[in-house]
Amino acid sequence: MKKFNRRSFLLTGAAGAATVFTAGKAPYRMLNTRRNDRSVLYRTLGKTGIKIPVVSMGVMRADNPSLVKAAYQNGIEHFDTANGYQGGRNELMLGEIFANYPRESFTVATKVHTAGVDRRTGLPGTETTAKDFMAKFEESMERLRLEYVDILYLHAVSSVEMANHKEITGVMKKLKEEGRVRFIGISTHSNEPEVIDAMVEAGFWDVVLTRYNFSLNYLDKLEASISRAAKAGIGVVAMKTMAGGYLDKEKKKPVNTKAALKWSLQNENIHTTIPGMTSFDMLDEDLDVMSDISMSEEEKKDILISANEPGLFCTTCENCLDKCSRSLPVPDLMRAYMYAYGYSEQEKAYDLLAELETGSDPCADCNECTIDNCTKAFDIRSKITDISRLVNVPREFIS
Amino acid sequence: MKNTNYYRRTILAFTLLLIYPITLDSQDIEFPQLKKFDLEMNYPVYTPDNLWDYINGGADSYNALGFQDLHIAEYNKGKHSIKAEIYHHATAEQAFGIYALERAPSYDFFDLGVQAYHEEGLVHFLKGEYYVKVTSHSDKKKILKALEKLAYNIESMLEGSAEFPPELQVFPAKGKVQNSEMYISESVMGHEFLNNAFRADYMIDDNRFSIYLFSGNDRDENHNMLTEYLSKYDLDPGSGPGKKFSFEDGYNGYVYLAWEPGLVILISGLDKDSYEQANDYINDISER
Repeated sequence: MKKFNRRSFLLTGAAGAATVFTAGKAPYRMLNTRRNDRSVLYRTLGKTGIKIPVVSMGVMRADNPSLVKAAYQNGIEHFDTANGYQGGRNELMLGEIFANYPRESFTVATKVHTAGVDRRTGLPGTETTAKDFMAKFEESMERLRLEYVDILYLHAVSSVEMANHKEITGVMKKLKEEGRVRFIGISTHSNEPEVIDAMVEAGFWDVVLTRYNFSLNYLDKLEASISRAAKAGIGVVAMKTMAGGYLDKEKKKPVNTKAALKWSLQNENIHTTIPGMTSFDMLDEDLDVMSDISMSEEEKKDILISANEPGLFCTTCENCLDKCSRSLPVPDLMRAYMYAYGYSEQEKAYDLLAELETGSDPCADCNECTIDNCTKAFDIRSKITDISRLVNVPREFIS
Repeated sequence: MKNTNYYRRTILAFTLLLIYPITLDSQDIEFPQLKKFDLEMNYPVYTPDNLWDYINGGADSYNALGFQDLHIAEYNKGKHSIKAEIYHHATAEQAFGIYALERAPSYDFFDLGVQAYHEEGLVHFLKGEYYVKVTSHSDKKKILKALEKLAYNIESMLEGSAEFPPELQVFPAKGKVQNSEMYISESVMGHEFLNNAFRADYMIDDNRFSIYLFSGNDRDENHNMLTEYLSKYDLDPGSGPGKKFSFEDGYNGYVYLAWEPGLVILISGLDKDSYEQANDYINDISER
């Protein structure tokens, strides 16, 4: 039996000859008015003084204006785009949308990537010029149809040299003085701690947009830099909070994205986040976080497991082999750790440890770990100590 | 205790297994020489795992469209340089998807491969499963001429079709915005249950609307997709093709939808009173 109810009806052509469309009932959800019933958590974006919801919108991959409108109508106030996204379509789409909204009701950030930067080293080249930067900036302003942007980022900076590039920083400061941008910043996807520290030292930057998620293996270092930036009054915006969305190459292990977003906001130095949104379901999920960042026990567990995911573990580069003063088979011990915490395969971890014969506390006699060249910056001693305790458990208890 | 060679061998074997499908299916890329330029290969071959290292956040869009690998070459002559990037995607549709995502209808298009466009210091083109970018920061005419020549040389080296995906022929010409066609692999119109659609934009009398074609699904897949979508509006797709529906999508405005054999057609952007126009377009597509 068909589910058509009394609200369904048939439309017919002008000639009345043929049934054309079966019409559905009223929409299950309307998003055409700005909602005021949602409680929103705000933080202050450093010295900019902008009070900003903890969740903003990364527009990069969104190609549906309705999605951006829905985000705006549901309380998202800050939108992040870039000159290069979708060959400029992204900024064009935002420009069309923003034309319909009061300018003070939203903030927008765009980014300009300068020419000539060596993508391997992040170092500027001879083509890294103010002329190129300004041409792209003007292009962005035309697409966005705005008199000013709230934040202009120097895009994808991964070297201190680029962060301190006199010609580019000079032109950005000038744009700020002229009022064409309210605040200037840097976006950084790699070598973030060094870049952020350089920003703090420079003293004139307003905002940093940095990669930040639970899976980064240099998290301690990054968090220290973020803390210094926040103390210096730099607004901190986090991106890539979902750690790629999956924990494995095969995309069979999805990240608990809601938990991941909440996790990033547990750090109060993160003032807002810009999760990329391509669907209304993602938007709904992110809107929930905008009101409530508290993590359930289940969410905490998900993040803990995800953070220890093997794919994000020891790369077995073996740099450490000659460094350990006790000549421990560190990559193998890291593999045991991966089995136990990543795959929950305690038996496999146990058997490997038994085979390695390294004992229940192989680091006991060492005062200080001599391995200082781990490419993933692991606290190796702590991980070895942690996993080696497993051999104290009788085999029959492990399943 | 097993020695490190054992683990090296294990890792190597695992790595070979991982890369085997790529090397089996894809063409070996050999960049052509360019007269008076030195060809240098200083970049690694990027894969989905490390594309991020090269294009940062942009990697997400590429990976969502079946990115396989990226080969890069630099051609140097004195202080001038031309860079060629060959992005390989799993299917021609996906390569078209990323190419179309980065083109604007207003670009200066010309015939090369499936299609190409010039901008200052760059030529981008599509051929089969390959999206190619040839760029230079030089403004010297001779260098830019060499850049174009290089684009032609690379195009002739690459295998694959020089035709747009056949689905694009199905879009009616009336009112279509030229070069507005896209291929969207995920969350079409922001709905996670709508995937893999071609889209074209239309403009008639200042009314802008879009037509989406879902052509890659079998009957069951279409049924499941439509059931998920239509059930939100108390509609039932029925057991097979042949029905047309209209409803107010709570997020995207009024939508017209038709399930035809092997094809789902969706029109978004026309208002409720435009059903005759929507029907004309649907009938036009169905007859193709």
